[in-house]
Amino acid sequence: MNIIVRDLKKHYKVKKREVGLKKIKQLLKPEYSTIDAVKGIDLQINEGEMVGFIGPNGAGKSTTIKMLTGILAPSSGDIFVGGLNPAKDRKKLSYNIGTVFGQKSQLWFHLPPIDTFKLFSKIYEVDNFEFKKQLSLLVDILQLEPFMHKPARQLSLGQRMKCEIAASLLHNPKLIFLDEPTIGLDVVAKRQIRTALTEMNKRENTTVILTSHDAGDIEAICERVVIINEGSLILDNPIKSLSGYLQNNKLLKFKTAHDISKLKMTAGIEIVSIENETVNLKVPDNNDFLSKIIVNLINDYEIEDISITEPSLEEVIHSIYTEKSLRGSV
Amino acid sequence: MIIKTIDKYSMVMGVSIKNTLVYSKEILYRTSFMILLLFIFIQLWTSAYGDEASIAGYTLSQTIWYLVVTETILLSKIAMGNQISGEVISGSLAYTLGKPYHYMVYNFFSGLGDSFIRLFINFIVGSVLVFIIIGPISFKVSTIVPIMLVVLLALILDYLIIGMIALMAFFMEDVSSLFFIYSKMLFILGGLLIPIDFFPGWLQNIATTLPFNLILFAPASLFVNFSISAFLNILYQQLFWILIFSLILETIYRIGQKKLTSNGG
Amino acid sequence: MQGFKQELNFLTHVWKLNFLSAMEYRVNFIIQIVMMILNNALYFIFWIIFFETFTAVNGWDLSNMLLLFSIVTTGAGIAFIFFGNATRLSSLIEDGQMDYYITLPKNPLFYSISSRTSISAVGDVIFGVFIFFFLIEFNAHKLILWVICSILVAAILTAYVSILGTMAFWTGRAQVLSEQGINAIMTFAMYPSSIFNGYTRLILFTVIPAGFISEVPVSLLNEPNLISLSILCVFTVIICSFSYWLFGRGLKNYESGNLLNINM
Repeated sequence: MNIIVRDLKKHYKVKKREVGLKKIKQLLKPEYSTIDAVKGIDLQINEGEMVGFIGPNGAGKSTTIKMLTGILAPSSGDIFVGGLNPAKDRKKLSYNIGTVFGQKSQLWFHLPPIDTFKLFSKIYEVDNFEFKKQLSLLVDILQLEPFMHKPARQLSLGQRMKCEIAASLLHNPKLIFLDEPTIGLDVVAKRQIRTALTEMNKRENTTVILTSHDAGDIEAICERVVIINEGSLILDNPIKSLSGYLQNNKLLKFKTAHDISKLKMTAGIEIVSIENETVNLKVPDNNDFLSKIIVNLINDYEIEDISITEPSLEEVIHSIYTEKSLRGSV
Repeated sequence: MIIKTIDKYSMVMGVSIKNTLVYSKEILYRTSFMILLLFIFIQLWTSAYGDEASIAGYTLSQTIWYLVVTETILLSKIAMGNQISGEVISGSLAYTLGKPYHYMVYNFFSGLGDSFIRLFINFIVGSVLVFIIIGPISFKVSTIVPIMLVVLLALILDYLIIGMIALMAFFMEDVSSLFFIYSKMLFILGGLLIPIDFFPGWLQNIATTLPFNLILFAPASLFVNFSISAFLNILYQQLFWILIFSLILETIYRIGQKKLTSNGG
Repeated sequence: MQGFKQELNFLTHVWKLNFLSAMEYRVNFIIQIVMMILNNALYFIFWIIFFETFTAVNGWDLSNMLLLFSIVTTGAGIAFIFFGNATRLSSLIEDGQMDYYITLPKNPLFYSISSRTSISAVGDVIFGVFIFFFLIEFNAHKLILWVICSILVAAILTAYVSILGTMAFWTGRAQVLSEQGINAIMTFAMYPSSIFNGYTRLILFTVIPAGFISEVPVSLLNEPNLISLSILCVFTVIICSFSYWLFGRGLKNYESGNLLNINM
């Protein structure tokens, strides 16, 4: 199933909060202010692609996903999902898509997931033979067997999320949306989910769209990444070309009383900030190189509290912006 | 197509029955309240009747069996109100829009499964108690089907009212006071503890004009004193109100849905 | 005595805080009160309809019902305004929240049961007071007796509810028992006690002491006499002392770690 999005916009009307006498006036004749959640997105996704939407919280990714599934109607612009308009043909579309929303569990809390699976097969009108085939495939690739007969309330977060994903894939949708599917999960669970999605994509050519505010997740699952910030699409690239932003640099943070500004700048090191004896360095991510720098630092200066971190998504976005404006000026 | 739809919603009901059975302790707990109330009312009505054979057209045994039915329905009716209003307020109703079912129908069947189990258990427990203390009531097997139909329609009618109140959460911040008012309407005008026939004339007129009596009083009075004409009369009234309330409910739901899809709740 | 005064001083402060936090949600506060008044009023309508047909049941008529409602609702209202957390005592024990109260240098029973005010209980008091002042003929004697009875009823209810909750020290899970017990005493108390006889009466003056909060005060107000009053006072002292003693025993049991089934 392919997706075409043209100049998609969404704004919310929010009632102004008033105090005192104005509160009564607000009750009778409410005044609204507008929030632009999505400010004109153009996008094309082909059948069988695996696309990740990343962006900080409140960037508009969930709003976009909700419009693609028909849960929210766009304020303006066009959406075609498999040739259908999601807001108008929501029911028709629903048979062909699967959704996993991290915030809303689909499992019956007191019953084993297998009961929810059977119910879903009826809701999506899957015939028994197809259901059994698909279920055994999912049980296999998500490794559900050990816990799918236990009540959902007894499952771990990771086990529950695997069941949520299985429930959404039972009707073999041509397109699956996952909103923050890896939030709060451990590394093993994340890896299994990742493998399962890739497997489904390979076998059935399922189009996979997922959102996350954790760039690392997307990197491992998707071939293509779309970065959304403040309601606009700021980058749409194959993941490989993005890895420049994501992987190349690490942040090195430490404390020292010495004057570090004289530190001999080896190629690539950049002083981000020096505040109250706390130094932030941007260092190219190359293991040998990184350890050499640390050894040098320890030899030459008295330093404390040293830590190495990945750049945050906000920093990645920031660097994309600066890069773009640099390119623009050339 | 129709078969698949029936299959879909009957499965919802099936899962709901399973889910209710997980809670069997809680059902027994609720039943204990019914036992307490029936016990007290057996004493109350026995003392009140004294030597009188029949008051307002009811014998002692009829008045008590009447209470078995009203209490059974009250304690077993579809309990989805808080969940629906909660999902409206939190906005999580939106997530169900991407599923191929009607939200209100889904919730009806989801509640109905649970409701059937409760009906069954509460009625058995109440009947056994009253049977032991007061004795049996004359009852024709042939009336089972029409009475069950009236009970089912009563459950639907109640669900529609609860549903309308719950969906008011699209427009109000808190609907619990509306639920409260409705439960009090059922209590008095529905004839929960005392048949409407005992009411003074003017209150009887109000109670029989409003739809609340069709939920408790009508099925219970039919159970203790069945007649074809009364059955048909109740049936028509129930169908009339179900039609009206379905239309209103669907309208509220569509307005709410529009609100939700245009503004995210 | 000094200790008691300090304890009372402290509780007054707790009640003040409860009140202030209830006032933070003023609309909700008013709605809950109004709903409770409406609830009681509608129950009373049932009795009006009932006595329209039957005029009296074993000597009880509508005027007895009015007395009963005015005492029980006022008494229960007072109990749960000041000790609104008593209904949740068993949860506190089950969930291990009692630990918090134990570590404080105050009486854990008094502090734990008074640390929440039931807002709807205010509606109960308003309803009961309204009935007494506007629907019942009274003189100074009757008024004083009514006040005494309401306070005694409040004390009995608080003690009874606390006893039910305290059971959790031994059984672990007592919330259901506690809720059922409260339901039972309140339900039995709100019906004419003249309809019960035999074993039921025995139960109503022992295990579920509803008779002491309904029949005894009503007969006392109908015909003031020293014997009924003394019986009521003695019972109140007994049940309150028992409740206090039982909690102490439970606490010892808890502290010595003999308790099973507790979520730590």
